[in-house]
Amino acid sequence: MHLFYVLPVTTSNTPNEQMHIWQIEHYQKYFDIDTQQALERLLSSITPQQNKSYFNSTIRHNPDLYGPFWICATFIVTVAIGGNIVTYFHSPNADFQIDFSKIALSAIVTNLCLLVVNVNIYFFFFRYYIKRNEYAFLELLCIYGYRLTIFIPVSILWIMLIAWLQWVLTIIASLISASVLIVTLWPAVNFGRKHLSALSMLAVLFVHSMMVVCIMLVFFHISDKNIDFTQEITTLTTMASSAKSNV
Amino acid sequence: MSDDQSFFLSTSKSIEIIEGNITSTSNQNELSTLDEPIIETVKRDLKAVLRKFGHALIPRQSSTLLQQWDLWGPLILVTVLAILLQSDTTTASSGMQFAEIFTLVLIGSAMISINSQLLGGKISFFQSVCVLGYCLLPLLIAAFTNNLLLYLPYRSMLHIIRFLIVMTAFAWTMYASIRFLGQTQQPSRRMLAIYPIFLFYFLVSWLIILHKPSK
Repeated sequence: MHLFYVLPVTTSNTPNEQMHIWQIEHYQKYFDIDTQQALERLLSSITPQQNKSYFNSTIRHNPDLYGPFWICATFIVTVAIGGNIVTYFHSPNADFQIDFSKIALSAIVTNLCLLVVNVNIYFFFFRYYIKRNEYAFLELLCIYGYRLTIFIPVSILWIMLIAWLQWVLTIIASLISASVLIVTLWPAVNFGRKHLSALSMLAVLFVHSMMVVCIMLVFFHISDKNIDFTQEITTLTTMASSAKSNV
Repeated sequence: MSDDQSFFLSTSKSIEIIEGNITSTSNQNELSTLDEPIIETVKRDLKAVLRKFGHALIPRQSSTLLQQWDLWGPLILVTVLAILLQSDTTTASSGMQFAEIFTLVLIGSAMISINSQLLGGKISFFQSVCVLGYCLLPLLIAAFTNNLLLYLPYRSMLHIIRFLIVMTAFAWTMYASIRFLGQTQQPSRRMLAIYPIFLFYFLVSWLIILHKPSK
């Protein structure tokens, strides 16, 4: 067995070469990011800044696909592991099985939502409605992908099964990510009819929050029913044993 | 008929007869592996695989894993891991679980290899799949130990012990794979390439921790 390169690895030295879509160099320009830049983008997507838009300074010149893809993957992993931990601790001893369908389900839901909403924003806003092609599709995808960052620590904290805490965390995280999106996209959307643009922004945010709330309910909330169930069983057995002892 | 025969004989006389051996004499120094008995081939490949296991366990500064990659080792490791992580003895769903773990490892290593190539790394696809597969060995040992521990009577301390064992194996795996795969990237992007590896092994470790065989 000798060295067998399936995909050409070396970056080409002639930039005038036509990159075909099945060569990997065609996609390398979307991954042209260093660790420092990636960390900066992550931080700016968590903290909404009113005066300076990080989008205009960094992403416009260099949209990257590394961030959105791996943030999405991290979110899927944490949700899957967290959901499995929750059922591990709250199911009877012998009945637990690793539920791989959760991983698949969360993967499909998150990816679909991400892509579909983004495509909708792009086509609806910037092609047909406003007819100004200000943002490229990739840049929008980049912003939208980085918005999921805040939900990763939240999904770890969701393991603590206190119902009001989960709801509070969800609301705070949604507010933060919504504010980041609004601050970034508002200058472009805000011209002409204000009501319609505000309404459409709200629709986008609503869909995003719905996705997050669905994930929380499906993966992290099941235990409530289980807890009540086991409590009922224990009360029944104590009642039965006390009845027996009385007789 | 005789005309045909005589025609044939006359033409065969004009053909020059060339003789020779079919084996080439130019590379006498290389092993011609086609002629050796099968047991030799199997022994040689097995020795190579075992040597790479040793490298994966004790990462030394050698490039054997990278340059003489093979996919036998990862295949054996993933198969054994998938068998160990089965928790249901009925045939229908246990086959599904095996396939799920196998697919997970396969897709995970494929994504990591593509990612490291996209970031400009100098490693080919199969080399990085090979390294990722071989570095699964400590996690496999932890899964095996966990399975043995689960036969002890149930105590809550066991959870903590199993957790610690798997976390130790995870740290060992990460150390080994960083040693091998870290050098193939530029320094400014090393963390970006290592993070997906961390995620992948983290997922596999949690699968091992949460594994409970059916009674």
